[in-house]
Amino acid sequence: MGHFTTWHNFLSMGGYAMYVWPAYGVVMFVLLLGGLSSVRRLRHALRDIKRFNEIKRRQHADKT
Amino acid sequence: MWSFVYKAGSPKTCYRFAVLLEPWLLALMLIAFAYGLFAGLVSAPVDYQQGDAYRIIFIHVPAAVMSLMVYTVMTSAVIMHFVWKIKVADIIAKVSAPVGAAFTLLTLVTGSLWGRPTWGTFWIWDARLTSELILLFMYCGIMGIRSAIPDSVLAARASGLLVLLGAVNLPIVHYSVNWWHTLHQGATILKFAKPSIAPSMLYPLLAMLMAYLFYYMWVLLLNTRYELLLRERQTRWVKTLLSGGD
Repeated sequence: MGHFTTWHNFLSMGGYAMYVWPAYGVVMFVLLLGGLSSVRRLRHALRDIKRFNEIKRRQHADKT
Repeated sequence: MWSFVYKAGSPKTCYRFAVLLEPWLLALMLIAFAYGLFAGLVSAPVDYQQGDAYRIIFIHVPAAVMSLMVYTVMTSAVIMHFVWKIKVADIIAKVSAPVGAAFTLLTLVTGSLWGRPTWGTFWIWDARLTSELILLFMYCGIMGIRSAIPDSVLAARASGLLVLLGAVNLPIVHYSVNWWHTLHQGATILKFAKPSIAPSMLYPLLAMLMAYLFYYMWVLLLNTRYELLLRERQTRWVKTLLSGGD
């Protein structure tokens, strides 16, 4: 499986570590950032709308 | 037929569809990434000319494919919104732009990191590179014009027009390697012939493309749900959705 025999071998990427790892790093960083921020934004929106509806319902209940 | 289209395009149906699909897309994406990264970085043999620097192909080429595919989806969504006034189509156009911009940026960054050891330069005004850079500017302009106009109807129309205008660039990016014989190499996979790449390198490449594709669909659904909630928060379906249980 593969031609890398040691961890050091793998990490040095045949001398191209300074190009391969930053390239993979930036891809993973950008995709992770995009995914996590989308999840967070949706969760916050769900929570805020829920809270808003709850407050309105309570105000309505107080009046009647 | 038409009642089905309107029902499928209704915000409530789309929201429920997104909730149902999201966990599957997330799982498929993680599996594709796990296989693609392992096969690309570990299993695939070393290239006899480029050494291990060629491994950037597994993240670069799929990103480039996605940068064009997302724009194509966005263009179709704009046409659907303009012709049939489907609200969800406008949302898809809106939330696709940042993902497309991200893939375009990643194409340029990874390409540049690949170009340095193989071509000897991070950047050159090659036809493919230049047209891809223009694609990035198009995405930025499309997002910028939408956020700059406060009226949402006008904003959708203006950014939609820019999307259609920028679609001219798509064939230019794709065929640039054939029309101008500059530095960037020709097509390896997206052509009407057998792909000119060994299977041990083709499979990780396809896995990464699938991973990116699932990622795009997953983020698209998350952000579509967000936009739907925001635009429809006063409607009854959102209120009933959020009042019961979770």
